[in-house]
Amino acid sequence: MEALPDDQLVAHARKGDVDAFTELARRHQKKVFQTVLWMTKNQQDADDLCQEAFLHAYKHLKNFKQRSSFYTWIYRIAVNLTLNFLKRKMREKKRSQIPVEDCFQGDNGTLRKELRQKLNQAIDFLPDPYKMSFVLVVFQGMSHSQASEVLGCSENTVSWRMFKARKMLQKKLLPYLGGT
Amino acid sequence: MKCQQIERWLSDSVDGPISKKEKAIIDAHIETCTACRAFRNQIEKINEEAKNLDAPEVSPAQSRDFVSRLRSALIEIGEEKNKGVLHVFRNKWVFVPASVIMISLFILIFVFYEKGDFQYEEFSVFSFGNAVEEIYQDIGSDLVLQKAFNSLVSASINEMLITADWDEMLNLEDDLLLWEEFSEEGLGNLELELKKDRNS
Repeated sequence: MEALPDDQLVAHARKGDVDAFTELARRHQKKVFQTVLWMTKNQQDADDLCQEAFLHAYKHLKNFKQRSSFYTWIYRIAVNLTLNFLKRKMREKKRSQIPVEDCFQGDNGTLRKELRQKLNQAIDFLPDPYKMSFVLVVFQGMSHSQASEVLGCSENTVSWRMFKARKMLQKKLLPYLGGT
Repeated sequence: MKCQQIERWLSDSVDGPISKKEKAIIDAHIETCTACRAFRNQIEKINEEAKNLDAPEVSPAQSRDFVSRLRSALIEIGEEKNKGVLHVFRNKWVFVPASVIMISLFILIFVFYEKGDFQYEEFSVFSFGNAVEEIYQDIGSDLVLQKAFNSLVSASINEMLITADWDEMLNLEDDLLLWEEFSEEGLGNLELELKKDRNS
């Protein structure tokens, strides 16, 4: 199984081959999990959402037309589930305020450490669609085109969200960034 | 060129290559615009620091645990699928004998129907059908019987009007089949009887 490319594993999984789908999950779960964790800042929520994303993908494999890669497709499912989850949480006003520092570690340089902490907090306070674009492009190294496929929007929208996200971050972090 | 457009292109340039034309415009602009130059330096610093942030850790043990739980759930889904009565139809080959049986059944029905052994009514599900209309036809031009039957129907409707609640009545009005049984003449007679009952 490990030697097979994603599309062949998808074909096997479609026929009900659990091992093939497990291999797909093994390949992609780490990156998907990291992205969801960046968004939720909660290990348990991220774990639940990732399980839900992969189970949803398995149940709906027949609907996967393979116009994009499995990687993009599973990302898209996870991103949609996460954004819906965050919306629901916001509505219920029960969003847990887990300190950002709990999930990340800074370095020893005091000023840099402070900037990183503030940056973490500032990213956390970005509106969800902007934050998701930022996570995909900056942390996961996706191009605007790849991120647009995952988010189900145009490249122009991703470009605009990145610009707005940077403007918001710049405004919040101005004292730590220096003038020039 | 407005600074906002320049800033947008600067943001794009941090994420990937931009066109030569855009780059030339940016370079010319930031030569003279200190605000845009500062913006470029700041967003580059933000990007650099963001990339240096430690990614959330996912240990190999966590990954293994995740995959193992997922696998169990997938197996459970498979078992659930096979439990259902209809799961046999998921196998496409089931449709071959099923089709043969269906075709044979249709042929049998057709042959017996042609022979006259089967009556259409035997296949019909119970319904009011044309019962009321048929009664009217049987009554024919006998005015006494017509009047008696109309009285029965109108009495039944009046009783229903008294006892039924409005929700139920609304549902009955929506049910076109109830009224389709009556011919124009039948409905006319019914209307007359109802009017008489109301007046009395």
